[in-house]
Amino acid sequence: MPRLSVEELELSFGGIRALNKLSFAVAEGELCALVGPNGAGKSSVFNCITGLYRPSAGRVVFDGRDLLRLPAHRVAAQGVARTFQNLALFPRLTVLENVLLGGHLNERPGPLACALHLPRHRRAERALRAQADEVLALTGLESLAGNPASGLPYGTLKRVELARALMSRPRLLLLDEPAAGLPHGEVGELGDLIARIRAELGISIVLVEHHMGMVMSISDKVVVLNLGRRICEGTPEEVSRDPEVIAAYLGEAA
Amino acid sequence: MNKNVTRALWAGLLCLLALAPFVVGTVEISAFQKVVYLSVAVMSLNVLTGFNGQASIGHSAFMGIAAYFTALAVQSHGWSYWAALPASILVAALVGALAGVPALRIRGMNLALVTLGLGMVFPQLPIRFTEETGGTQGMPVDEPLAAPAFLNVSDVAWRYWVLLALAALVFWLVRNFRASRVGRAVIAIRDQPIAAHTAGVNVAATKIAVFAVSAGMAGLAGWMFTVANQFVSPSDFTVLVSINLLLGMAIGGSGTLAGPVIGAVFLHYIPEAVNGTGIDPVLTPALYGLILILVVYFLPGGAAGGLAQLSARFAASRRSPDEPGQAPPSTPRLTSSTSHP
Repeated sequence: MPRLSVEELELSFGGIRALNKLSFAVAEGELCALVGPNGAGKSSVFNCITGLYRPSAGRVVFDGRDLLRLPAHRVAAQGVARTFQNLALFPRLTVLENVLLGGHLNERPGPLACALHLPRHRRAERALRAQADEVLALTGLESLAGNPASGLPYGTLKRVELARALMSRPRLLLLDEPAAGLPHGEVGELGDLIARIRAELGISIVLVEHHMGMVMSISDKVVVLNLGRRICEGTPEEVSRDPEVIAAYLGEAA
Repeated sequence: MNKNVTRALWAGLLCLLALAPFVVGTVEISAFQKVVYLSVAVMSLNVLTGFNGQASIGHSAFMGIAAYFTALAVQSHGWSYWAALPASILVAALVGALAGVPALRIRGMNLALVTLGLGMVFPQLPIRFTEETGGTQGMPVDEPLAAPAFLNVSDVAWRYWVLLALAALVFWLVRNFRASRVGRAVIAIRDQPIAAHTAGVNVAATKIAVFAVSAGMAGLAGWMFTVANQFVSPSDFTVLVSINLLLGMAIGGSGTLAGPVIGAVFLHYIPEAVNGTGIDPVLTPALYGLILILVVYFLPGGAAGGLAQLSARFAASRRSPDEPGQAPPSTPRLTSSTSHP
């Protein structure tokens, strides 16, 4: 049984069909890339999986549970974490605090324990700190932990978001254009980091990305979308040979 | 600033304030009482607006509800102030929770307008029930919060200490909460509600809870008001009071711990200083406006933010005397939607 299966998803905005009977599946530990031209519906898929959009039909089954039946804040508890295409960080918090927020559900001292500084809260903070230190080390952010998030370079902020997502110890990680806006040299590093995360943590990853070099080098499977429907699915090699993909996305062969 | 230095500063301030009744006279202590309850009131707004990003121009109503509740309970129903303390906080918090419900659907300017409605309606209530409350004339409370006889201290000093202790407790709770999982979630909702959602924060429940807690804190300030003044009137809880609280928060520094104290000092002593210089007191609002514009322009973090920046510069220049102090980080916007009131 696949870890994530998206089944016949339909989503419309006014008269525009953003998703049209879209289906795909991601196996355990698989790195699946979603590619397609702008407006193909890639980010909409993420927003449906994480409960921010409500599709009019279809199912999103994760580990046997339909995520569409859950309110948005309950999806994280199922083991789903994501990053955003345009950064969604907390600018006035430090890098460490941003990452700690990703662990909101890992330890759960209540408001009273927090306000009264009870031992339960202190234990939880220590545990969270230890987890955050691991994630910061994995993403190479240790030295920046105390910096406010605002004012850091764009590429670093992308890693902070990645670290925040990892902090929740997800079983499914959704990465929305992690390489967008990065200088060329950093794209390779990011690809390596994503591959390493997959290898070390053994989690399933869905990657939305325009940077085809990265997609082709680290993905197990590529799903190509156009105008809200799946036009092709396969290994990177298969997809790059598919005539329909070449027509829709890569442009007609010269 | 170094954590220990900050802690020592707070402890020193608290000690100084606690010893004040032995040094200064009754008039000053009364003024200090006012600064203390104003600090709590500004902090209540700071929790809602500064930390959670929800605007309110209705906090005068939460204060007024608790102040009138206390006055009526003590004067007309023979309660003790101590019995009225938890009850008045609870009543204010309940009204706050109800006021928080529309905040789930509306935000920003529209939310401010809804709370403005609350702030405008409240002063009409005592007038409507003039027989019980004295209407526009106000309502004196004969019984003071008296010092226990064995302590052998004046009532004024005792009331001041009670207020100071409760305010210190509130600030300690807010400080703990700020550095905790729940506090981070509250700030996350202010900055990026969608990201907070996806991290598993129950945004709706948290926003209502923060509204209730904030209103409860404003209620505590209201209880303090009645204890300090033994008199309540509708004119003490007009919308102008809410706006002053916002002003105090902005000038002191929203989203900080020291800001509300600085803001409260400002709110009490600036009008006094204006009187002292012989300028027509009618001009006080104009002066407020001018100061506010200057602060927003030059110190967007308020006085507390400015102090933090100064001390960071000082620390940096001490580390490396040759280099100029570390410039405050220029802030490229992380998001398109973040703005702090």
